[in-house]
Amino acid sequence: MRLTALTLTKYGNFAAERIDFDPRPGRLNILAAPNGAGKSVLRGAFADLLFGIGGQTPMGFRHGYPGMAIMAEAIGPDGTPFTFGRLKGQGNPLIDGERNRLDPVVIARLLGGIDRQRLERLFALDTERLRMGGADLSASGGGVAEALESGAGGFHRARQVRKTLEEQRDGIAPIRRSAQRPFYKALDEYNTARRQVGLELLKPEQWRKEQQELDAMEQRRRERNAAADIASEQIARLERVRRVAPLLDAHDLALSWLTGHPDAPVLDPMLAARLTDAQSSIVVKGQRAAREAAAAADFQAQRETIVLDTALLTRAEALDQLAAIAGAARKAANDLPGLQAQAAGKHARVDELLRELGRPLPFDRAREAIPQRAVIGRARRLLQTYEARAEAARDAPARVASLEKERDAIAAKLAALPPALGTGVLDGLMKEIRAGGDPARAEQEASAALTAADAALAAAIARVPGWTDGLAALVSLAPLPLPSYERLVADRDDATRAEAAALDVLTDARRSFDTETANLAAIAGTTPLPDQAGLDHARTRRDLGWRLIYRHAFTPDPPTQAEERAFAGDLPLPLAFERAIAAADALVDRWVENAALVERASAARVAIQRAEERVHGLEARHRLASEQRAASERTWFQVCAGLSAGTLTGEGPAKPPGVAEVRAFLAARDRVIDAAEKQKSLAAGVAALTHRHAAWAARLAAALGSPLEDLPALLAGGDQRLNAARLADRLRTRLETEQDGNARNLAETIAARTAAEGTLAAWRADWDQARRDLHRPEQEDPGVTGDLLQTIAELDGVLSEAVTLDTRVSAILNDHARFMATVSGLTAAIAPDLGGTDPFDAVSELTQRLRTARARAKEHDLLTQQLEAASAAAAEADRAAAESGAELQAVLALTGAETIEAARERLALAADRARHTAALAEIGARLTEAGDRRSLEDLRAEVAAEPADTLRARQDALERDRKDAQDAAQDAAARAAEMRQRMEREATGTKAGDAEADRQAAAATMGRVLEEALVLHIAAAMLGRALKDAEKSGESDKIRRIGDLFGKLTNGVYTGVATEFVDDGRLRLMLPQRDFPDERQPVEALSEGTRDQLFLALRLAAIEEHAATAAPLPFIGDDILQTFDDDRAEAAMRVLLEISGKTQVILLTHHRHLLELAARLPAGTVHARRIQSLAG
Amino acid sequence: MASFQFLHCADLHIDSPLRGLESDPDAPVDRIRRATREAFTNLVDFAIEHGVAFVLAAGDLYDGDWQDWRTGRFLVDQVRRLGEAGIPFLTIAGNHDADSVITRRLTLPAPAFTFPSRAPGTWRSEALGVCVHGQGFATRAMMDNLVPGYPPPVPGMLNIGMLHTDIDGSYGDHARYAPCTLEQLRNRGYDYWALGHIHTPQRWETPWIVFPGNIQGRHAGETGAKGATLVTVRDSTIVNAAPLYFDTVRWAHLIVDLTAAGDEDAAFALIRAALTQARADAEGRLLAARVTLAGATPAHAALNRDPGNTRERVRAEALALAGADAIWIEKVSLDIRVPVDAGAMLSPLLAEIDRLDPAELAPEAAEWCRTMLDRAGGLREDLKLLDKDHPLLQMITDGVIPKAMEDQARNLLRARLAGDT
Repeated sequence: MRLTALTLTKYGNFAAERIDFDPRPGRLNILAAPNGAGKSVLRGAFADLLFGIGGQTPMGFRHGYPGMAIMAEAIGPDGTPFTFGRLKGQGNPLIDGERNRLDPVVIARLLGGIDRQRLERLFALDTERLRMGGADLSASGGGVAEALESGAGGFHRARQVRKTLEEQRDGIAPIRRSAQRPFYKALDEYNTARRQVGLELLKPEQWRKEQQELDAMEQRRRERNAAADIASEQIARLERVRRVAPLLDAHDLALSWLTGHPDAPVLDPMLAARLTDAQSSIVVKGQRAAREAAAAADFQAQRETIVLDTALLTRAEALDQLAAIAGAARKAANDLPGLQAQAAGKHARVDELLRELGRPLPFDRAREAIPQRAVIGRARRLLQTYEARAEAARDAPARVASLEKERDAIAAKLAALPPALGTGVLDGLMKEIRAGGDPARAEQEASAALTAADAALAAAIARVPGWTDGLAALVSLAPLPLPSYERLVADRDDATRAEAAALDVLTDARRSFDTETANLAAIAGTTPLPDQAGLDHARTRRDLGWRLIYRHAFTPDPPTQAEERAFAGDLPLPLAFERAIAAADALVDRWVENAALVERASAARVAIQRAEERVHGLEARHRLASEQRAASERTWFQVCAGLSAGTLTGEGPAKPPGVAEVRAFLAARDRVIDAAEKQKSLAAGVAALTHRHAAWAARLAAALGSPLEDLPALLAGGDQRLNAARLADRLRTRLETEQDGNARNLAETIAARTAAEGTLAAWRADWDQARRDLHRPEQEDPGVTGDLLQTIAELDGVLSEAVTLDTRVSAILNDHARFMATVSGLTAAIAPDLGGTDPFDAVSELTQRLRTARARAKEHDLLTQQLEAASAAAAEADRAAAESGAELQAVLALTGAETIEAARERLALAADRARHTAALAEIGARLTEAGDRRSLEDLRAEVAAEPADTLRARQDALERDRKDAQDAAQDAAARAAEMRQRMEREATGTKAGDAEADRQAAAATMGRVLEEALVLHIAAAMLGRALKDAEKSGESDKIRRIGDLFGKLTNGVYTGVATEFVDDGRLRLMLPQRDFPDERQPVEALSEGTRDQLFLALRLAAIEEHAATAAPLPFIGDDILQTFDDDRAEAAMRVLLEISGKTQVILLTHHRHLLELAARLPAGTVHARRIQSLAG
Repeated sequence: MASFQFLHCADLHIDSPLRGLESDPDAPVDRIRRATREAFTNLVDFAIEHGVAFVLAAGDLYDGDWQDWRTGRFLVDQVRRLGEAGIPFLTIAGNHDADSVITRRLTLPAPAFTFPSRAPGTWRSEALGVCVHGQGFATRAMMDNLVPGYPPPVPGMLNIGMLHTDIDGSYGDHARYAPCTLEQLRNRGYDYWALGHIHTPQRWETPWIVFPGNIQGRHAGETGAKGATLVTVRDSTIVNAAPLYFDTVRWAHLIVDLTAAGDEDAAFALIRAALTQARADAEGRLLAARVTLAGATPAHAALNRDPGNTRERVRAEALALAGADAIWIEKVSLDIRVPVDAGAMLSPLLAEIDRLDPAELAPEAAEWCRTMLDRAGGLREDLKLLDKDHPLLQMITDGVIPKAMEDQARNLLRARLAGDT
């Protein structure tokens, strides 16, 4: 659709306005009007025309809603003119030129699928909407947005994959050293192990050296021990000397006595004692014989005073027997009546029992009623077992029935149990899963740790000063080493100081220059002083004038007029020459007159010149220092910008960051890397845990035969299954145990029943025999028989008691008669005075008389014995005294003496001889022992050789030597032992091998890590290259068209448009430049105008795209070129003119110069209308 | 006519660390670190228990650059045990021993016998009717063929030759020390050649020419059972030479084909099965496994998207399967790729990635490798020991991206970009 005219009635600030347009392709419609003239209203009216006037439209602000209408005259896609419009009112009716309602389908066909929103984003733009940019365009959908995305290769995810690959590579083996990364961790372990190998290695040379040291120490020990032995020998010799010296003296003394007493007898040393004993024995034994004779006489006298009763003593034995039985005889006489009554009672009971037995026999035949004891015993034993056997036989069937019932009940319970399940695998799996603790808890802890690590990582990132670009960008930074930053800052500070110093020096130089200049001015005063140059100049001019006059007057080559004019100007040459002479002379005159001043001025000028030269030189130096300072600052800014986009200071980019900020930034970054490493490690741990749990869950689900659920649920299910199985197993086991017990009991009970029945039958057979032996009737109940057996037993007892009582009564009667006869006979024989006395009293009297007679006889016997002993002792004492006299004589004979005194003298001499002889022998033995069995001569020589006064000192010295040697030997032995132990430990240790194994393990880890990292590296590189190639080959026509339009809009300054994805997934436009083909500018870096040109290119491309598939709507641009400079505005109008071939273009502008620029377009291509105000 | 048995071992490399096993607090550290010692101790135990007549050790008792005297001390202790049981330990110096400072200081206790290095020597046992001829290396760089210098066989005796050598130079990347040919050995007329240097067991009969392999695998390149050879002599004739295994850590390279795995769970089921089988094959020893996941599988995206996670899952499976003291995962390599039908739906970007010439990326990647290795200081040599084909070394040496790295990178990108395809 192309508009021919638009008529607004009571719309906005328009009362009634018709605006004409040129609808032809290749025409650019421009409406120039000042601000407030209603351009925006016109753009809004176009939208309202197509989509309806809003119910609360603000366009009624001046004229209200009644009568509001928008009418358009247009040419349809098929070239047919038509009119349509909108009325403000109920339903916003679409009308035709006759104000008849039109079918909305008509307008729908015109729209080509464009809705109001898209219209306002593509076809009816002002600058603000234009600038909504690529993001808005992308959000609007459509092919351009897709093209933009495909311009980025369409491989956003692929880029992310590549980035992930690189991160993973750097996560395990980054080029920048990071102690926590697996590669460097393994490297550290590797280096540690390698050092450890060197430390722990026991080299053969080292071993040999240690062996040599050990041998040397052993040798030293042996040498010291030998020295100690020598000292010990010397000490032993001196000890021997010391021991044997006094012994030798004693030996000599004893030998000397014996030599001096050759007549000293050799007697038994016991003779002296025998002599003394004999002397004293003679005296003692004589006295004893006298005492014993006196005692015998005394005993004889006492015995003769005692008179004995021999008659009584002769019948003492018979009397003693009588006294012994007298008490019993008296008691038996007293008990006899009672015993006789008891015997009568027993007789009566026997008769009674015989009657009970049915055997009324006389007492003396009563025994016949009692069967033999064996028969009775057998019958009793049978009766004792009868009840038990009868009961057993009686109860057995009931017990069998009970057990059979119990058996059936157990079998029923077992049958009711579910079949046994094999839970060994499940149990093992459950134990395996729970071996490391509760999996759910482990997962929670791992997740919690990971969450904490995430938080720590986020906190660490947040603490990175000024950083907003996320973790990946931070990690991917390649900061310089900190010393490099410090060096750069130092360079910058040095340059700043150098610049300041150069400025100071320059200021001083300038000050000197000014001083010199002032000095010259003071010297010259108001009148300039001639200087050498001025004088030279005057003289040169003078000489030039002369050469011209000379040529003029004296040569055929006169000067030309130009030459003369050059010298003289308008003056005649002679006059000019004359003035030149005068001037030179005047200068010379003044030179002469002011020679001193001139000299000073000349010096001042030289000084000024030097100062000026110095100033120039210093200015150059200052400039150079400034450039160096600026360069170092630029460098510093650049390296800092690489760190954190220049925001390190937090005070804006104007002030450069300091080393402290950089240090803080790097430290914070390192903390982030560490935190990220930890988080990654924990994440891997969680993943591994999850995998393990998943594997367990799968196995557990398989074991349970249930659907796959989460592990805790499966574990709970497993527990339930196991518990149920265990419960059933326990119940089954218990029932089976009961069943086994029941079976055993049943079998035993049946066997017992059979046995009881057999036993009872056997008993009955035995009982029949016993009954027959008892002569009891055949049908008698065993209980009755048992009762009769009790009666028989009682009869047997009572009968025995009765017989015993009868016997006892008879014996008492006999004993009493015999006692009476004996008493009577004895009294008559020895005590007639007791005749007629009670026999029992007579026995008592006789007994008393016998006790007295026996006491007198005993005293008589004792005295007789004492008399005999005293007589024997007296005889013995006499014999002993005689023996002592004989002993004395014998001793005297042995000593060879006749008297006791002579004997004692000889015995003393013999004792001395014996003593000295014994001493000599003892000393000899001691010398043998103390002298180490050396000969007496050797010992004498040894003693003689060692002076006694130095003996102790020499021994002490030798003791010290020996102790030193022993200490040294012990020390050597201890050290040797220590060395041996150490060598043994070293020889058997495994640390070197372990360290080497550690080294190999670390090498293996590094090898594995590097291989994994290399795969990631190659994969990332492959993907990067593929993406790049894909970008090249996959750039769409649409992107090229956008780039083409943008190039045209910028007059070729920009050569196209590219797109790329940034980290957060957003699409970013990048603009390659003609003059910097290797660089791509982001949109943010474009100027405002260029940015508007880019967005216009995007819109125009979209419009072209739309136009390719649908009838396009007119494009209305409301002051969209206001930021374009003239060249680009013209370029834009040319582009719009090109677009107008596809859709109508209407430009609204308040810039009148656009009309002037439009005049540069080909004639007839612009339909321009300049209006002061559109408002009516 | 004597009948007896003897043990032939070589390349003990005592105290040589097992390479490629990363440290982990859960690992059975002692079993890993004492593996070479325990293997040799097992051999000595066997020799004493079964009363073998003698033990032959054909060189390389320890690493040449290893200087710890304790290693020599351990060897002496074990040889002393043999000596106390009356079993002679006969050995020659290999290239590593010749280079070792331990060798110069070490004297083995009698009746052990070390053959000379300047010329072949002979050890005789009249009781057994055996002559053992041998010559050790005087220097590591023994490039001469020593076989021609060996003495002719002693008539009426069982003649055994001991030599540290590389036959025909056809055994992998072992340096060609004291090279000789199979024919030369056969023509010498000995009954048995007890060889060392090649870590993979090899043997020929008539006469017997045997490399027993090393006694304990030390890295992922030395997989399978390791030990020595038990030689049985009956009536002065060798009737059998059978391998015996003394290793305590068994290395395995498990290439798990995941082609049939429809998804990630199925893939891990296959991995579990492979680990289970390998554990069984290890016969109770600690299994040190390198796992390579291979094949075109629909699970490629899930497995390739986060290789680190996949590796950890494989380790976790091993741990869950048998515990840390049964399986130790040395490395997990991903060589899985997208199935062909899925490849037909490549996005333009993935197509671009496939079209890329890796040579264009190689200089920058090589520079990265150089930078990282510079950071690592002396690691470069260790990486050679660890894996001489380590991609970083290849990158720096050859200047091209190794094919495996290229494939892994492409697979990683396919997995990561799977949502875009």
